[in-house]
Amino acid sequence: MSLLAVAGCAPSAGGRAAGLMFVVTQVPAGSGGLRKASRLDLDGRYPLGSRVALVFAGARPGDVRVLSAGLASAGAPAVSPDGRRVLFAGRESAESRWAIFEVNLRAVWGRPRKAADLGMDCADPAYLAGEGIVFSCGHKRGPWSLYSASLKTGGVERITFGPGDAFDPAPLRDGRLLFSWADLASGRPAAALFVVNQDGTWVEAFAAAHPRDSFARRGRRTRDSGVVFVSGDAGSHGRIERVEMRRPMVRRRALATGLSDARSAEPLPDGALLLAGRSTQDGVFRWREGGRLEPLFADPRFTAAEAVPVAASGPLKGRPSTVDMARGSGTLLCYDSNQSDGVVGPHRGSPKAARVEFLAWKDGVEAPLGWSAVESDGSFLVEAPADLPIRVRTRDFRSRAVSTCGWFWVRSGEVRSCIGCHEGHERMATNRLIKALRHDARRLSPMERRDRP
Amino acid sequence: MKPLAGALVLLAAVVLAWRAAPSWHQRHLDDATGRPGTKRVSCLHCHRRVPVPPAFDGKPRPGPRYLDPEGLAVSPDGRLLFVAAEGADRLLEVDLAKAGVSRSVDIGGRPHGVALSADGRLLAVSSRDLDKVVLLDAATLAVKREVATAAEPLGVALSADGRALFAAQGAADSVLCVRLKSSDPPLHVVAGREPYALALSRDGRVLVAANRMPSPARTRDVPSSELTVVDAGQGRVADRRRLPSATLSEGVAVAADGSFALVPVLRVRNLIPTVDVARGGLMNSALAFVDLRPGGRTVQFPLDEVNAFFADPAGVALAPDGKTAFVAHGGADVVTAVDVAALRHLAASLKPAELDALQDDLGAGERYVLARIPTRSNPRAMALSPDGRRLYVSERLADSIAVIDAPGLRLLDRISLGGPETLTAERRGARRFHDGTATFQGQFSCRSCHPEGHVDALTWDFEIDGLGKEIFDPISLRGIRDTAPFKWTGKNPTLARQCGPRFSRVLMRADPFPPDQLADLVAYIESIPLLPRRLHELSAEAVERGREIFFRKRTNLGREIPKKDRCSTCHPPPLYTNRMSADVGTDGSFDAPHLSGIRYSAPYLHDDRAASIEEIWTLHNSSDTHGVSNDMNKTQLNDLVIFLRSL
Amino acid sequence: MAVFVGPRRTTLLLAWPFLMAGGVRAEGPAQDPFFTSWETIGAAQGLPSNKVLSVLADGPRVWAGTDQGVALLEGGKVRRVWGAAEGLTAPVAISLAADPRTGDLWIGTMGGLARLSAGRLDLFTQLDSGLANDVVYGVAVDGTDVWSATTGGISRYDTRTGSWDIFDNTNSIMHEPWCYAAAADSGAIYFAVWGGGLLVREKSAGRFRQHRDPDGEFELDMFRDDGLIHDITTSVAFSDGVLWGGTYFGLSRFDGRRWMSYTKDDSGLVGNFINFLRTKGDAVWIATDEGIGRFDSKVWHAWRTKKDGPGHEVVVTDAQGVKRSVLTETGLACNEVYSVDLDGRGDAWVATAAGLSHGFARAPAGKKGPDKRMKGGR
Repeated sequence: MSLLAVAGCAPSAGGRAAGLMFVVTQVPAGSGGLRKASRLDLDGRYPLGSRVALVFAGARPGDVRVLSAGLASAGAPAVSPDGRRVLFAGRESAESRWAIFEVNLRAVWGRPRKAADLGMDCADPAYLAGEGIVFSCGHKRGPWSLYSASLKTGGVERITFGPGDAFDPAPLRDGRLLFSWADLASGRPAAALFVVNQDGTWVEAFAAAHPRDSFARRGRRTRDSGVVFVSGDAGSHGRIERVEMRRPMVRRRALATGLSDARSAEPLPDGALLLAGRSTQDGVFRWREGGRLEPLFADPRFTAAEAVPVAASGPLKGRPSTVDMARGSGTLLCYDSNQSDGVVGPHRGSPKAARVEFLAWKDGVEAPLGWSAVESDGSFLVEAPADLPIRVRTRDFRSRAVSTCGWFWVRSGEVRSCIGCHEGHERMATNRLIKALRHDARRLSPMERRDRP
Repeated sequence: MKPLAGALVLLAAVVLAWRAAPSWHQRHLDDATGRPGTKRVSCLHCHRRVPVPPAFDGKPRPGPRYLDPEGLAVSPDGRLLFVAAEGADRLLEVDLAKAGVSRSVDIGGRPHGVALSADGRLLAVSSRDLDKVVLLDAATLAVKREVATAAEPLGVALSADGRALFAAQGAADSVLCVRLKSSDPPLHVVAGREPYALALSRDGRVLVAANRMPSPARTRDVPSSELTVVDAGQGRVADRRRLPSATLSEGVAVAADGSFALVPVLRVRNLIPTVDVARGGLMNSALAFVDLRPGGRTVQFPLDEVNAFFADPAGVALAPDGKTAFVAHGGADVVTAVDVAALRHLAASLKPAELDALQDDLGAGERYVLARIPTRSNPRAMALSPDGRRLYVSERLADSIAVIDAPGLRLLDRISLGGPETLTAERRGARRFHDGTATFQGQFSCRSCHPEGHVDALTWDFEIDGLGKEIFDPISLRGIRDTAPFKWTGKNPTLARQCGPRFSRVLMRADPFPPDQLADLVAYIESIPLLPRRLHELSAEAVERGREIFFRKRTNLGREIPKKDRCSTCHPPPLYTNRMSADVGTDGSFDAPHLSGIRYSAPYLHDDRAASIEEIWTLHNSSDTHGVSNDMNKTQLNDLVIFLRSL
Repeated sequence: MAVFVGPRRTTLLLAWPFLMAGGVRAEGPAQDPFFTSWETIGAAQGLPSNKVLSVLADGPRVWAGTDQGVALLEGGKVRRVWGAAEGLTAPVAISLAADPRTGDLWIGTMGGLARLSAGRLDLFTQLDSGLANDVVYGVAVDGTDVWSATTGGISRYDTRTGSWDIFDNTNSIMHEPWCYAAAADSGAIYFAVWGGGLLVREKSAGRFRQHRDPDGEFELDMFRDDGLIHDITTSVAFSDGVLWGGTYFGLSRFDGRRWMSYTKDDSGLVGNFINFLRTKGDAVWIATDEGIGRFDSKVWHAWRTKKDGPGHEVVVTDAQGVKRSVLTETGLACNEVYSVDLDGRGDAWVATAAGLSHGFARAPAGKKGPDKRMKGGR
């Protein structure tokens, strides 16, 4: 039986966690969902009876306020920056699609209201600046993409366009979105953390990308300039890892939380982490590095899938959109396609690029789009197709492939630059005039028959 | 009947005037500008009383007197801190034990740099607007002597024995060297552009001057600024080191033995379009390590991180043991502690190609950044106690001094200097102007391109106007109040529009300023004063001759100059702009910039194509499209230039 | 055989054996600067060109300005060169002046005025500064002011304020704008104005006065010692209260009261066409198109290559006009001399159209034979 708990009041729990309130996804114990379901199998991840509940630290198992009351199953909660509202994914019945719901914590009697329903399954919502939200949507067979929506106007826009699934978005302090992007090329489940602007521009790798041998999900920024995330194959035992914002591609380590199966990690206002997972028991915990795991809540009837603190986290930043849908294409400027980190990009001694090919991902296969010349300083300036997964392959003067970059996209009206051809994620550009700027952005020339794979 | 008839007549007259007014208005505008089809502006656009723009003229300024602490010097016994309170025109003596101001003395003319002789008896304070260095008895704060300098003395240094005085003369591009006990005239040693800060080695042999602006300034060349190395004994330049793509150096420290110098710099990427700010797209902060030995290397070590930038590096302090350096970031409210031994090791051990790559590597800082110590608003100058245990940091826009435990790398205390507690809109706006956190990842602030509200002598390729197409330099904001519209193209009718949402989209790449902050920012920008005119440096006769040329209506041969081609049409006093656009043959139509203070804002024209005022006409006016100048002889042109330098 | 001219022929004939027997050697710079031992430094030794138009001794350094740039010599060897690639866009370095206090070198070129300071070259031209004209024939440093004598007038650059002033025939008493030389002294700055005589800028009063040829005749000097010998002046120097003016047609001397003029026909002047003057103490060095001369108001010295065959000679003319000539094995590279200076050791450095000639005040040990570095002395 659920108790009605008024926000702001908390039963005495004693200790440092007193007054701590959080939202937890409770999956019926024994349903096996969390262990077997892939990340985007929402039915499996949150089987019937899964619910989103508001809990105070130290509360007894039944002393929760079910926020998803009336829904057949729910999960993936997110708390607004002012700590007053909660978003989550839910379905009204076993046959319904998964949609995004919102609950106002101050409305004691309120039922969740539908915030977004796109005609396909949606999950993993998060709040954005300016009364916006972002979430992941897709069909059961995928792929899943991120969509942003305005809670004011209801307008919805797709913002990721890559092959593979994009999910678990979360805002960063600098106004970008962190999200997980699953690789489809490696043949086994792998996902890295990427960042993108809230309008879908400037997608780039953030962490856990090289080598892409892990499944990084639920990336969340901490208050001390880090990002914590869950690492582990979809649906299996996870562990909490952390990267440092100052060098996310390099400074990565596992956190010795003491959990044998970690499912979520969220930053707390005091700098500790709120964890959901299993140690000696399943539940929600508070943990600080160098400290002990402090149990906050457990209910033997349920498995805690995710736990998110309810607290004001400060206003979110945004970034002004540079998308211009009227343009119909974007612009790609590369400063020096011969510049590389020598590891992932072309190795030292590789032949110089003479032309670039653009390839698109269409219907599950790589399709050539066209090519353009490269200037003598390695630069090129090209009009690139918008809202399409593309990648760039450089070829030398004998048309031999030199390097191929990862998938990305440009939005309509976006002007996107690359310093080199996988130049290293910490590299800044050299201050010099770029030869490609002597002309306007070139249109891609059609691929000749002999060039096609 | 009569009143009715009169009313009808009056009504008819009003209607006729109403209908005729637009065409009359247009004719009037066309006649005034000499250009048919001049864009319609209101009557008040031209016919209005313009307030006198604010200017630094050495006199006390109205309004709350914020202290604006700048230069610092610590007494040899570590008990006293001397602070140049630039905003209050005073030198403050701070009792460090009591953590408060114990005495102060009026200096006048915005005191900036402070130096103390090794025995702690002689104080030197520069007065940047009055072009002098004031020497005081440190014990009594009595003025002993005033040394006249060239324009705008900023950083000062005293030899250990107090016999030699050095001053960076910012607006004169030279360093003053004076033997205080000698009757020899002072030496003016040519430095780079705008020497700002000085550092003297402990043995007094090597004086190093950090120059703020890139030189020479040629549009679309890779910019570089100079570190001037002076043989302090002889008063001669011993070496000049170039710092490529580096600018806005406002601090310098030199090793005790003179073997190396440290200079905070902004490393800019102005030749690349401003496509995005991410990953140092516009600039990054760096600490230049300059090995002063013959053939020594110069390396700019990045101080920023992949996802966080620390804008506007200013002052630098080097611990007495030479192992740790501290850099104040005025736009991030942070002091960065740096492992100098690590810098030296990297500079000595890496190959040239590796060092080149390191200078553009945001991950490099992990090897030598020790800590980030938060401060209050706009930390600038710093001074270490003689024992190296305490670092004092001027928090300029907070009117306070941060006290940092130097070995422990943590903030210990804060000393309030007693400035006004209420913040005016201009003061809040000043903080906003110097705060980098409004830009993406805090990479830069307004000040980064407008140091002291002025120019950065660089051109930028603004992506929004087309890649590689529209190259513009930042306009000086000094005296810009009442000169709307703004932007070189004149597109922005107000400063609020100029700094508003579009600016946030194309440059800041972050959320726009909220309305209240925007209003404060505008208030501050409108208050930025002009520099002193320094008319005593110019020939009065030449100024007068130049004035006549500026206002002339006929050529040397007596031909009438069309109104549209007269200087005074587009640049009428008092602001020397009619605030309208015109095409003067420089590839586009541009808003006539105000000319007040242009002697300090080289290079010129919208894309800096004119390196000097002369070149506006000698190189870029072959068809007399920017005023009629081709009939002038060189003497007349020189007189015109002198007149313009007097504005 | 030496060639003797002059009124005391008999005396010299009697002296001849003595001179030949005892040999002639330099007896030290303070005594009798004969400079009988010379070497010439040219392009083969690192100069940008053999045509050396200007020379300046500045402490241990010697600067040589050529038509392809400027060279720095130390220890008699070329150490570094600045030419077009280093920023001297028109690298014909006509004139040199050093700021004794800062060590900066000012270079007058055909393409503007350049300042070389600690290796950095800054160029000021008539297009980008207040320089009157790019052809800077003369430059002089006076404290913080740098004066340039250009073909378009005189420019004064105040290095302290960055201001320029132009003085020409439109705003001063100058008769012509074309100026050939500038020299600075404690009380005044002196200029040679082509066709306008000598111009004097009184520093304290801030005004000009001039010295003109009183007879105004271009073709001849009507009256001896009536004033400046000719208005077409090329050079000027001032020292010890004596003003020297070099012209196309001879030399003039003014001690504040009296003018005296000299030509090669009536004195020991080596040539009438004077390119350059430099005073050292009470003597003036005269660079002409017929060799180089020195005059201390009493005794003349002239160094030149022989006109009739190989070899060099030194001709000494005493106060009575008696000449004696000594043959030397080494000498000037050629007689077209553009400039001269003496270094701290008293060595002479002579800029000629065929190289930089270095006259040793004390003949180096072992330097008896012909100078092998420049065969034939040319």
